[in-house]
Amino acid sequence: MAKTPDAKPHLSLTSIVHEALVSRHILSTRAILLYAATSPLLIVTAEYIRNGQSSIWAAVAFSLYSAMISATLAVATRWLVRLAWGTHPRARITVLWLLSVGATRGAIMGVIVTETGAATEPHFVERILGGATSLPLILGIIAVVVGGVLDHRERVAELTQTVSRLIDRRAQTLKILTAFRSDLAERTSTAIMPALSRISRLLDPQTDLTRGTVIGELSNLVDTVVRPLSHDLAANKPEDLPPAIHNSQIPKPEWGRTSAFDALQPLWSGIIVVGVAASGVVEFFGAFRGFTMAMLYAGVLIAVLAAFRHVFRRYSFRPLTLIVLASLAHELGGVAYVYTLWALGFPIFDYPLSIAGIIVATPIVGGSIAAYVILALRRELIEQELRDSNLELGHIVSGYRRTAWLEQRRRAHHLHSTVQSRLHAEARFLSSRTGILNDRELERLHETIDSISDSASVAPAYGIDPLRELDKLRDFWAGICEIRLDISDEVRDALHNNGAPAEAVQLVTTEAITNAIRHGSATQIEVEMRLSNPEVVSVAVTNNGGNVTTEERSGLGMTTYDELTMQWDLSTMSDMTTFTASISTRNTVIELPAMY
Amino acid sequence: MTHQRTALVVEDEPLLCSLIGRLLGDSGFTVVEAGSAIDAFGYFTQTEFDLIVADIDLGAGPNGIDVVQRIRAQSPGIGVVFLTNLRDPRVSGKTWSAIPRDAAYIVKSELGSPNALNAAVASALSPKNKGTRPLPESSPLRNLSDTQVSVLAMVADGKSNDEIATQRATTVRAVEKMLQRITAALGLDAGNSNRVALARLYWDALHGKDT
Repeated sequence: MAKTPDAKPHLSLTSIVHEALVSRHILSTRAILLYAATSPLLIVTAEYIRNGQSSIWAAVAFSLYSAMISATLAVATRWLVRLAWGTHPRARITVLWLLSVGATRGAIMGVIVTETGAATEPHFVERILGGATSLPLILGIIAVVVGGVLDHRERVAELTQTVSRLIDRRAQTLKILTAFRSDLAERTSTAIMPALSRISRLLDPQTDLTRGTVIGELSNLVDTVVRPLSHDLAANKPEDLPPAIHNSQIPKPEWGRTSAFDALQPLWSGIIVVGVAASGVVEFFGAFRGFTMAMLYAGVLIAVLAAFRHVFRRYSFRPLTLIVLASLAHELGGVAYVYTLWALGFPIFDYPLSIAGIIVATPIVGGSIAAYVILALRRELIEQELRDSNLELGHIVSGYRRTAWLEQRRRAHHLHSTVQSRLHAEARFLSSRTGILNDRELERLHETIDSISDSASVAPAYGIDPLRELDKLRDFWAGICEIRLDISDEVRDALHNNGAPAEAVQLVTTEAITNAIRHGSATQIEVEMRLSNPEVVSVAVTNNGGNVTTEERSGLGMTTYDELTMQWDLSTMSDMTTFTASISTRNTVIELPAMY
Repeated sequence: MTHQRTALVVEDEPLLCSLIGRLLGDSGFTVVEAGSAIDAFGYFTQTEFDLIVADIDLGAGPNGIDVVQRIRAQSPGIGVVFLTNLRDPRVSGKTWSAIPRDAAYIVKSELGSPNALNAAVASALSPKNKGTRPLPESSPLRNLSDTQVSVLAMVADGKSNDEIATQRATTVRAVEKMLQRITAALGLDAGNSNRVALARLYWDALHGKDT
């Protein structure tokens, strides 16, 4: 059963850590960390090269190497992301950014080194390689943190408002439908009861009753009350109701786990630990201070991004903007770092300073990760709550709307057939005899009046096996149209003795089949029913009939579809027309007011 | 020994179903009554029928036209009488073009007269009427062609002559002439108010009111 909107998710420290490492919702973080985990490779390469070279060509070569590695890793990361989770805009933007930063940085630094001749100094090579190794990690973290933090508040507020609107809409829907259903019962009762009472009074032994009078009253009841009322009820409609499902309100699809994801999952923790620790450990032992430098870069980057957002009041960036900003911030960070140290009078490669930098930087990085994880999780939980609320609303609106519509239909049909037949049979019975009404006839009349009185105030139950009815429909059209019914066992179980949902599935499917044959001249129809959700039957009716025009669509039993399904659609592809519908299997019962 | 004729009545309103069954029984038919299209087809697979009397509107699922279409696929010579609430079935638009030929019609409100049903049955079973779709005798639009009825529907829908001309891919002048012919065929006075009278006639035909 789906969660109710009021259910509050539990958020423990363990679950936060676990989600940080494995949640499919924090996709961009993982992509970035995977990218960063490759830093040991570059670190090792840098250390090896540093001990043996200082030529300009080697510097250029490694600058290009840095760019190439960045691009390759970014593409590989994206491929892995797609393999494991499919396309995701946020991940795509982030990967693009990383790719651009890495490539741009490599190219710019290569030019600088070449033009200034600084490559003769070993520390420039160190800077290049150090930056190439640690920047992806740091920039990635900052990217996610900045993006996540800045848009978090707005997004959470928006989601909260949407959830609130959904709950309000649900309340409004229930109010409308309950009033409509009460009105339905009241109309039936107030129309029929006075007429029945009048006939009952006529049947009083004290009255001067003639057979003709009773027959006239019964006929009159049929002609002036029952038949008009049945037509009136059939045409009666509740006020405008919202659609059962609000597609536009669902923030993003919820992805299922894939085998690739499950296979990679155990590796995430190790990759993250190695990736984060490697650059820090190497710097701690004095290999180079790219990690510290990156912290300064990151600080400048945050400042630039924050300033941009503050000035333009925008909370999302297009990739190109992001590339420009990131590159700009990155280079500004490098300059700021060097001149800051120079102004302070410290040697650029003072190892103790880098150690101090690590001590300062580590809590920032850790805090950033934790902040992002918490914010992302909270948003994700609210989004999940919204999805649950939306689904819940879909079930409720669909269920109540369906209940009201089916009851209206059954009431109208009951009056149209059973009540009329009973009155008609009674009138014919009385007509076939002559003389004064005897006691047996009076008793029979009372039974009829009481029976109609009882049945008029209670909606008749539905007692037909819907899937058996579909079998009959298939047999009906055999010879004109071949109908194949493919109904899963789960659907059969879900619909077995399940009142309104079963009736809805039968009516909707019947309508879709009939439309395909009547309007599309279909000769082959395939009906497939599956459980797309534990409480939702997915019906797909595919036929080889003609395309349906917009004008025809409007007449294809849309009321039936609207009232009985959570959502439906009609599409054409490769000369095949497919009707799809989602029908809630939750059996909703509306409590009527006490007077009934 | 004379052949005992059999009739299948398909009507979801039991009162009418029973009434028609009785009237046909009085005319010498052996009658089987069905309340739905599916039930009707079930009876058809068990018995050979000479005549089917089917209500066009049978609620959700297959309607009377579907039943006849299905049955005629196996029994093309069966006589068909359609029951309708419309005094002229052509005002139902697409339904009319979907209605098979060789069928007779009777408006439900005329069932009180046994002769009306007998006349429709005779028409449905008469070989000389094959290939036609005879209209109910009481149709107020009986003298109009199918095209004229469709133009009348547009007038009743409030469309101007310009709009009708555009929709029919013709000229305004042609529409004006057609309206003159319709007015004359219906015996209405030509004048500014005849558009209202035309619309009223159409809606009367649609809702089954006597004119």
